[in-house]
Amino acid sequence: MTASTQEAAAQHRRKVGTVRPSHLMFTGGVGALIDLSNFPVLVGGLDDWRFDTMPDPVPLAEPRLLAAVGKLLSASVKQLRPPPWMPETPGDLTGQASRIGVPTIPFPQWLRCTACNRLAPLDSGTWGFVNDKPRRPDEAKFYHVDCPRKKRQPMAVAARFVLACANGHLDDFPYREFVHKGGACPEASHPVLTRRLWR
Amino acid sequence: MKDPGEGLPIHTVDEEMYRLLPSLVIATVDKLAQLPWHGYAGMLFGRVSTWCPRHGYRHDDMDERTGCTSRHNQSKGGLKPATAVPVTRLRPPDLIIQDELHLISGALGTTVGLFEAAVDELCGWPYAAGKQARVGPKIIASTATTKRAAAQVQALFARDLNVFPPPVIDIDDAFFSRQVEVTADTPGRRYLGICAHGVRLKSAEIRLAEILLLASQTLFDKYGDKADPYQTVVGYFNATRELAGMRRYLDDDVTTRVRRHGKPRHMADRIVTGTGMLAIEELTSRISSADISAVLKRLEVPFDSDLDTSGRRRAIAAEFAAARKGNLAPHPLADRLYERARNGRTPVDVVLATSMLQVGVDVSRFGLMVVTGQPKNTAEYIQASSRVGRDAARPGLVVTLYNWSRPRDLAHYEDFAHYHATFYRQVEALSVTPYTRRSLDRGTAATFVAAVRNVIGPYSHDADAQDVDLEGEIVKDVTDRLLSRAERAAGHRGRQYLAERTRALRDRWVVSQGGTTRLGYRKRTGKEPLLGLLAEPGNGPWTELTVPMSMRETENEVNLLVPGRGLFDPVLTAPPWSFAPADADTDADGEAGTDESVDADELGED
Repeated sequence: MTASTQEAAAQHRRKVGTVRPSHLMFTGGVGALIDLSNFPVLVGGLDDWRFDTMPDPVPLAEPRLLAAVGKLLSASVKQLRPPPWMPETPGDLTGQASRIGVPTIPFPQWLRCTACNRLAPLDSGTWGFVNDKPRRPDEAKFYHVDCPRKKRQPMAVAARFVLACANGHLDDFPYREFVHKGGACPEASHPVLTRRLWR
Repeated sequence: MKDPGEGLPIHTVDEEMYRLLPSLVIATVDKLAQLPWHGYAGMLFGRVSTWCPRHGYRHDDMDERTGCTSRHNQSKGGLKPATAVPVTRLRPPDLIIQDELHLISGALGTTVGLFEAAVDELCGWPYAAGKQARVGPKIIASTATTKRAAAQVQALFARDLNVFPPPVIDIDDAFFSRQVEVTADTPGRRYLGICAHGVRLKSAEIRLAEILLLASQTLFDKYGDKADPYQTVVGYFNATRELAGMRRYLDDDVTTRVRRHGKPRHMADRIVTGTGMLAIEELTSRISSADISAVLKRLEVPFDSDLDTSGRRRAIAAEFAAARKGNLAPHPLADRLYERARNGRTPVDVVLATSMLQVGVDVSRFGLMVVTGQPKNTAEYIQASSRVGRDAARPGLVVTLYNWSRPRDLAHYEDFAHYHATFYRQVEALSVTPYTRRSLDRGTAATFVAAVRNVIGPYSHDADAQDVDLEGEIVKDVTDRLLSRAERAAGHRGRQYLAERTRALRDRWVVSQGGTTRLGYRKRTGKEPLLGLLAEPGNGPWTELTVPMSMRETENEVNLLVPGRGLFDPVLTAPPWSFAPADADTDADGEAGTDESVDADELGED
């Protein structure tokens, strides 16, 4: 990763979209994929949800539901909480309210460049991320840094395949291992992959 | 208007409206939600008491905002000293025009129905000495459907209904609409149903988008500007979640396909360069409302037959490459393309929309729409699909893609021709139920407080909740009128439910008046603190005294955050992959599994 992308990575806005609480309860819960405008994200586990930055978190007052949850899971469940949220101060799009929310990570972590078809994971240093307009989180996107085929930040899209196990676990597709039939690449220590379409 | 060239006397700020009381007010029903929260909202109904020569009609609660304090001794800037003078009440509104009455239905209509009771109360005035004889405004409404409109109007306004023009005998000419033969000049709109049995809906969506984009490009190459209506595909979705999935496919699968599949299918390629992308816009709640108008403006940009045929696009791309290599000035047409892109006026290939498209979107260019899944009701389907072919001279094609795993979609597909031939008849009746228990649980406080607070001046100020005599004659009269209106709208039961809720509310109010701090309508801290009678919804359960701040309480939107630092960090704890050979029995399972797995075609490739 070049120094400039590293800098950019540290400067992007964290808010990439919004969801309704009911969506978070059902189809978009912990471990679910939520499709944003330009990339999908995976909702992080409850241990990553931060409530300490909220000014005054009010727990849900539903004693019967709490008892039922306690019976179902474990008696150690002490509180039911709404997702981290605080009302936005009108006109202040970059204030504290925009930094409180549900943690997610981009998933699949493998991306493909729409111009040169390079296939690489997020940590490969290939990709950059832009999200600099507080009013347009929907324009947040990943792009290929220094793409050989297109100059102006060609968009990177999520790679098509993921792995899911019968128990509902989700992982990135092991492209690197797959194309080398499980072994190591005989040519390079760190192979560079490109997606090609087979006809 | 006093000076020539001053413009029309139109006010757009709330405070201006209250102090000047224009004779014509244009508002949305959402503004009615202000009635219980603001004492000065009653001034719009003529409930004024004093008038300041400098500031117009005044209300003590507004002084802070208008800077008026009934007496102006100093003559600032040459103004004469002024004192507010008492005035008589103004005549309340005599005419209410409700546009788009069909939208005041369902949950919104139910809430509005209760607020209308307060409006009715504030608009009514006795024209004779007898208390019972009151007159109110005439209400004129326009609606898209008159089906069961009488019941809707009864529940909303507790009034009888006359329909104008009366339903006619001649269906060809019904005053609002006239049937026109389909000719080359008036091409009309065609509906097409697609149900791809046994194929995943997502696959069908991808294929459909691909073929429509390629086919429209082929038409455009051949016929030029005449084919412009088909160049922008409007995707209509029933849920943002479905739309979001399609967005993924458009950027990936569809883009890849329309780059290279044109030729083998004997059609034109939509994207002629290996790096080009589709221009995609969204009309959804994901886009902030301020940006929607920009999107709409961009959608008006037509495809240009000088620039956008696939031949021209190829030539321009080659021209650019050559110009760059030889350091020459590119052809003027290539320049025009570049200029257009720089001004953000590149025409849009695909626009994805949710129910937002139904109201107010009027882009006459639209001629091609894909409806994915049968919308929940026919009214919505008609509203949404009539966004294409708005211009009588331009054609419209609506392709409805049915999900074969949904029985409802299948039923519509099987009945496609008849349903579409008669779909105006299939429009659902509108249902409004203000006087049901669950509705009254939520809306009684708002209605009752709105009516009582604005009934006389001395009850209207923020600090007056303490002084309202809940056992007194005035409150009793208001309650009686609300109850008899409930009876007219919803019969004996409506009256009974409302009476129950009103009694409970009055009890709570009386109890609140017994506190050690003065009771106001809303909580105030500071020099003269007030206890709050009304509670804002949001935190905690809904009580007798919770009053909504708007007609539609929508859920708050929770932010989704990606990691700030560490977005690109490697996952350090991930174990390495191992590819141990599967043993015999799991192999058999694997075999059985392949039948269910998707084939190469479904994965998006040929």
